[in-house]
Amino acid sequence: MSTFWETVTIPLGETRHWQISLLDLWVQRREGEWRVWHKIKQGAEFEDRYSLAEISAEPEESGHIRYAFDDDQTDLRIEPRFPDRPIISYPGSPVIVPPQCEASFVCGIPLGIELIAGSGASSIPLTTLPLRRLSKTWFGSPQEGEACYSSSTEAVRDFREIAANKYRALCPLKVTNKTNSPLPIERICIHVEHLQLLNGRENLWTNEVYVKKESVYETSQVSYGSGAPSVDPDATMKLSPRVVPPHSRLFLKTFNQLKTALGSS
Amino acid sequence: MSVNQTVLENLDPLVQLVMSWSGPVIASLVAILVGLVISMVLRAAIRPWSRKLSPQALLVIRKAITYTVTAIVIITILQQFGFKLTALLGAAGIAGIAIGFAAQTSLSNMISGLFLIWEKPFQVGDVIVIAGRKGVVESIDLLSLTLRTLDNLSVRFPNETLVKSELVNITKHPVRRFDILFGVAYKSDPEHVFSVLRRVAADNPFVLDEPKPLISFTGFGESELSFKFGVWHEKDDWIAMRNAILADLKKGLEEEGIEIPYPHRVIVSAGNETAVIDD
Repeated sequence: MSTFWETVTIPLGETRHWQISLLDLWVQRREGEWRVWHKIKQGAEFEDRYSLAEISAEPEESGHIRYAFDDDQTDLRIEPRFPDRPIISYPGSPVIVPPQCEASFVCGIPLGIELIAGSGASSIPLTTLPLRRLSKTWFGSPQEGEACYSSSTEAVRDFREIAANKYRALCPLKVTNKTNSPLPIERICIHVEHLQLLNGRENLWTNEVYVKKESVYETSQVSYGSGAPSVDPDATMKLSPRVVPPHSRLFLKTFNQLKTALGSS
Repeated sequence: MSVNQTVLENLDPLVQLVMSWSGPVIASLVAILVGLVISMVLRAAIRPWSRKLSPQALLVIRKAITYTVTAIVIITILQQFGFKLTALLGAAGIAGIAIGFAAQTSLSNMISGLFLIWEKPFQVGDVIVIAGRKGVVESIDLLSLTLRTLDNLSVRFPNETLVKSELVNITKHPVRRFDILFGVAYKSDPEHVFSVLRRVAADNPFVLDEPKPLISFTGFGESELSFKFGVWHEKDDWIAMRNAILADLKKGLEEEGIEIPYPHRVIVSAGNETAVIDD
């Protein structure tokens, strides 16, 4: 799949303007510093928009950030990054996995970018930016839980139901219900720090995620595959996990089965 | 007799005195040194517990170690200098009763402090409301708590007050709900208002998708249809969210032509003439 990450040379005194999906990005190279402006358009869905232009004047946008360090490199790399919080994916309508059964899903993971000055051993990360405004949400009860982002893509059973988009990675998820009770799934929390990013034929992929529920009284066991998913075995690795999952399985509260009476007056 | 001999003879009683007291003095210095070492060792021994215990509990334990070791060292020194402890303890018993009456408030504060450490209703850094004062907990000590108000005043509360009073911990939980009560004109369609509220919540960057916002038609007011709009947010976004959502709500209702009415009354006279009076 065609990708948006690249390395661009910006000579001293010049400015470049990117339009990547809903993100407008301006980067200026000055003596001893890089200046970055950015603006995110309103919108819930990724736009298939990409352009790169050299501009002569500073953008009118206010609030730029200056990254100052003594370095004369002029290369700027744009690399893909997963968000800094877990992603909550919703199946659209409630799904139930019967006892002793398993089901596969595909969830959409939004991508962002990281700006890196220089290359090789002398690379200096500048900042990470989202490609659209991600919606904040909470996974857990109001007393205890974790801050997450909502995925605007419904969790589906077949990846072909999701339109290919180079600003979103598809995460194959296999759920195994080893309990003797039906397992209702209202939302799925995916810890993106353990995901790899792979470039496939028509989609960007992550490694496969396996979730096993062995007891209704305990949290799920989560484990992560390595490498290309089975639906696109020729996908090539682009990004390693930010945090390597431990060898032992992670026990995470992946599902939320409880309907809490929230918001009662 | 030479001058030197005279000086030596005059100094001899002093030297004898110093020699007689040298033993207890040296023993006392050794006791102080040993006490310091024991105190340092015990305080270091509780360091691995610092993650499991609250800062208040650690403070109490450290002070208990210091006071206990100090008391043992003082008793040891007094014994070295020949003080009879039985008489001292007798006197202390009588003095204790007198001190107890005088120090009952301090003791009450200290005991209240222990209960606060046990119950943990708040910790340093939390924003609490107590006795009408809202502020950040700066320190929790044996006898009192220090609160820094949001306009940067420092307020000291005795622990006894905290145990006896109602206390609200604003930042105990990671998310909060901000409730807005408002009314719209009677001619408005409640379903239309619901859709506006859902859009306002979805578009605000600080409002959480879940827990879902509370949207409730609460009743028929004198001049308006009453609604309750509750949005959830992370506790750190409190001020930014509150400012943004109120402005967004007003703008959203105005854009949809939904009026937030002033209070008013319609009076019908006997001659069938009506007059509208602003209340």
